[in-house]
Amino acid sequence: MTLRVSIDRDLCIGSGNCVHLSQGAIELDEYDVAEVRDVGAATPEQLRMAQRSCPTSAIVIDES
Amino acid sequence: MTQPDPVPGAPRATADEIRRVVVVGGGPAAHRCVMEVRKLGFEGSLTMVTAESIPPYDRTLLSKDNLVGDGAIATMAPPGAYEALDISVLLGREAVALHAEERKVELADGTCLDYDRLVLAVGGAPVLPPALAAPGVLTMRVAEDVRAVRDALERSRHLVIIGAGFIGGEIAAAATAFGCAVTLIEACDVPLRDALGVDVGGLVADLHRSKGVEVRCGVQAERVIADGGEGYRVVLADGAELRCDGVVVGVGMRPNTAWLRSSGIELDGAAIRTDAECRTSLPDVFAAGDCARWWSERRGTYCHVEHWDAAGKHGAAAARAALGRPAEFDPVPFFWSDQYDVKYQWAGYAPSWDEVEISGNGPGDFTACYRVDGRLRGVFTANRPKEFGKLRRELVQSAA
Repeated sequence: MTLRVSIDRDLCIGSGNCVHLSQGAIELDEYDVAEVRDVGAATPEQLRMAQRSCPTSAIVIDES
Repeated sequence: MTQPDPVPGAPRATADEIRRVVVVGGGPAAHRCVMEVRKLGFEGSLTMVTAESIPPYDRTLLSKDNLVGDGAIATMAPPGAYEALDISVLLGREAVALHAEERKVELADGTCLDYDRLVLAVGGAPVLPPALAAPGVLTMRVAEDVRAVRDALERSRHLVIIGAGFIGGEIAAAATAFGCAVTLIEACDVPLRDALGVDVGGLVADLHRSKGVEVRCGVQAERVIADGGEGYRVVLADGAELRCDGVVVGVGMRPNTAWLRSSGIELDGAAIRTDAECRTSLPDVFAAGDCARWWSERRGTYCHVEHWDAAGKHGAAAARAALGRPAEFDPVPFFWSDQYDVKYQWAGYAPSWDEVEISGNGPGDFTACYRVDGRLRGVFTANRPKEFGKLRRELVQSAA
């Protein structure tokens, strides 16, 4: 199952928890804002953990 | 070929060639440090040694998801990540002495780790005043604390929480979800008065009260007495005695630096003092995270924060410093707290302010702007993530 993951750029503060927890699926861009690079690089569980760890709840996961 | 041993007692010059990097600690600063060391291309021996029994994890979730939800502890590195990067992780191993002249860290089991560069990211431990430390009184800082706190929330009819800071506040919120009656005791006249001021602190107290928590401010908890297996009596400075089934203390933390005293490292109170690039007073020894107090050029003062976000960035800066790269660390502080259905967020560095402007619709929906000489220095919001994002970006831009 591939989840649809998006980042709300207005909320992201570049803490980078997601980068570490998502094993390459999410990276910080040149403005230190998270962006989804390769959603398949992480397991659904890792992506959900990244969402829980986001301090600003900037990660949106669509599981439908 | 091994490096020859130095003449005993003669201080070695700074090692030009870095063969061994040791990081003491197991939190976000230590994790980010070792990851950054590898990212910068260092291929030598890299060791992270921590007294904790599990690898670095998201500590901020302990008082949130891990308490009220059934969320597993969120380990920072996916399985196998440290091994893949040849990072040696020593768990459950406490550092007990730093022998700086010999460049060794001594562990509790008697073994020693030699280093060419050492990063101290040892964090801190919850303060538990002896008068409050009756058997079974709980604190919350490490993963092992979750089970005991959750048990207390599950079985207590009445829980007393001493300290209305963010730990106390989040545990109070979690306790109401378990149907506990909660009394939150705060020595200052409002929660978080020094960090947020009287008016915003009042709003924080109002939110707790609106959720059914009894908030007693302006009174110190003087003693906790275990009542022979039947709960506790908490004695307050005004003479009141509260009977309860469980007690949690959240009155701050103290850097884990007692073991460093004999090393001669310069301490500022209990924190390790560093320059603007993470350097301590000992050669090739760096410090980052909750245990550190660092010089800020921008502010012209030493700074210390206990924030998850700053700790990670600090660890990465210490990695750069350890490898001789530019490593200035001067972030715009950020922290957050999730209590009930409210997300609180803070950005900025404002140890004091001239005015606070509060706008909003009550304790669960407001923005507070802290200004010095008319300039925005800090912002605190409740359930206003977009506005927070915007104001935070303003602060970052004006700090640059």
